[in-house]
Amino acid sequence: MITFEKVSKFYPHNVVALKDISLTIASGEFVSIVGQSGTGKTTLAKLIIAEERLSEGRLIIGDWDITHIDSKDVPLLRRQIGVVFQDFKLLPQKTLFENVAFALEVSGASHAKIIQIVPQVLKIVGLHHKQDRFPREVSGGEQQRVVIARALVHRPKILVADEPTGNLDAINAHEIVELLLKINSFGTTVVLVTHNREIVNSLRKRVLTLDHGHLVSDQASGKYRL
Amino acid sequence: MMVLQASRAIKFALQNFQRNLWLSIVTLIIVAVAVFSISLVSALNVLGERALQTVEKKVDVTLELKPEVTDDQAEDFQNRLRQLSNVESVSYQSKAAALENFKKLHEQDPNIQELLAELTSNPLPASVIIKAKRISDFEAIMKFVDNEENLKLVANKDRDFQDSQTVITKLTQITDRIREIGLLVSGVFALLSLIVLFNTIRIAIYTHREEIGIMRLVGASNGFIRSPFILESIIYSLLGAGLAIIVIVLLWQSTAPAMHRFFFSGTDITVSGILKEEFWAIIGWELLGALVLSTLSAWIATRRYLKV
Repeated sequence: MITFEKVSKFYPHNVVALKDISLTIASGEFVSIVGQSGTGKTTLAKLIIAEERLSEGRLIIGDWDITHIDSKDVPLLRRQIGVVFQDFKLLPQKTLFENVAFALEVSGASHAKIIQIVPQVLKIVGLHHKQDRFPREVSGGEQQRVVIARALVHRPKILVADEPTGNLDAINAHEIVELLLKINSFGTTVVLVTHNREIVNSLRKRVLTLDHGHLVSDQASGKYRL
Repeated sequence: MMVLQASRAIKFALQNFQRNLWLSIVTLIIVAVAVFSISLVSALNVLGERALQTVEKKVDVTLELKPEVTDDQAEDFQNRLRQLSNVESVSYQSKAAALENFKKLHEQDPNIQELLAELTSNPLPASVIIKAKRISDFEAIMKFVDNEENLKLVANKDRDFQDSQTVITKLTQITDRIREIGLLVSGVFALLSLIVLFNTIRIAIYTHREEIGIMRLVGASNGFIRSPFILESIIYSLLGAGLAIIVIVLLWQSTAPAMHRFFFSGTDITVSGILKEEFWAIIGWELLGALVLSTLSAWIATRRYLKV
């Protein structure tokens, strides 16, 4: 599903974000990427959604080699990968319904399809009764669930979640992880970037550990080791 | 698909406008002020130009003909003048007509009437009255008159020509200077307004930069992201220009009597008539400029946030 072949990412002034990363994530897997801050976790997530371009190596998503992806093809890639961020990234001027619907609207989905799918995904994340509220009118945990709902509308094969619980308390964080597991159980590949030790240890799923841009550990049913 | 995308772009543009109402109002006012400033200067230019034209039309040169000049010679002289490209019109006043006019002009003055009654012959000369297309054209016309053949016909060359030429030169200098200043002031205003308008749209889009980032993340194409912002800018420019037009028209109508007194006193030109005739010259270009510039600003401002 996702294949990194000797991938490196350098930033100006000789900053090495990732170095010689080679790994494969199979379809339907739930993978946690862990490591301390500034160790390259988010860069790795950004490479998958072509938010950043790799400096060396090859990156293949499904059958698509996105190493040198053309700018005009990036929107197409992003419609196939759901993305969840720590800071939610909801459009403040749009209601929860509109935020979720927006991801469908950009792909040219019909109005009929939108009013059919959006309530469904909002129901999956338990927010269908608050669909007309604006992001500022709901809690952080609820905002993150809206983001997950938005990520799900295209029925993506991959969901990349970058520190989705970073701004949440323990209860909300637990609910979000439960939701990610539920999505994974539908067959979606989930890539969870986190430095939350408790969450990683409770998952008992595959764990990739990064340290200073290097992949230092890959455990099939791992624990947070750093 | 195209219709769907277009309708969504319009929907988002209107939503942006409505949900960022304060920013929208501020942007709109700045656009209106920019268009208003340029329109005001254009309007003053148009009025100034018209006033100059009126003055130019009033200026004529009267050439008194020598008593021995025959009607045929006078006719021939007029025809040659009419052939000059910078001559607007040539008219002829015969000796009899001159006397008649003089009598009419002084019919209330018994002394002059008495003197006229005692005259046995008509002392007034026939004359040719020339109007030029522009004041500056008189110099060339006078040069034409100033040749040996023509001077045989003209009586008042020595007396009046120098005076006329001095006045004409001075008037030409003044009108040219007024035009130059008008152009300069318009240019500076236009440039300032354009910079303000350009930056306002850019700031409006800058406040949406996070939103643009989110749109990109959920897979919106550049065209999809850009179109609502461009439409929003078009709304700003149309509403802003509309507002400016309303203010200009109201201002124009309310100050029309004062402007008439200032620019066109003693003429049958109406200030409202000028607005009707020159509306698009005063407003149209500004509207078009605001539209083009706001679209361009939106395009450039969004491009910055659309780079991958």
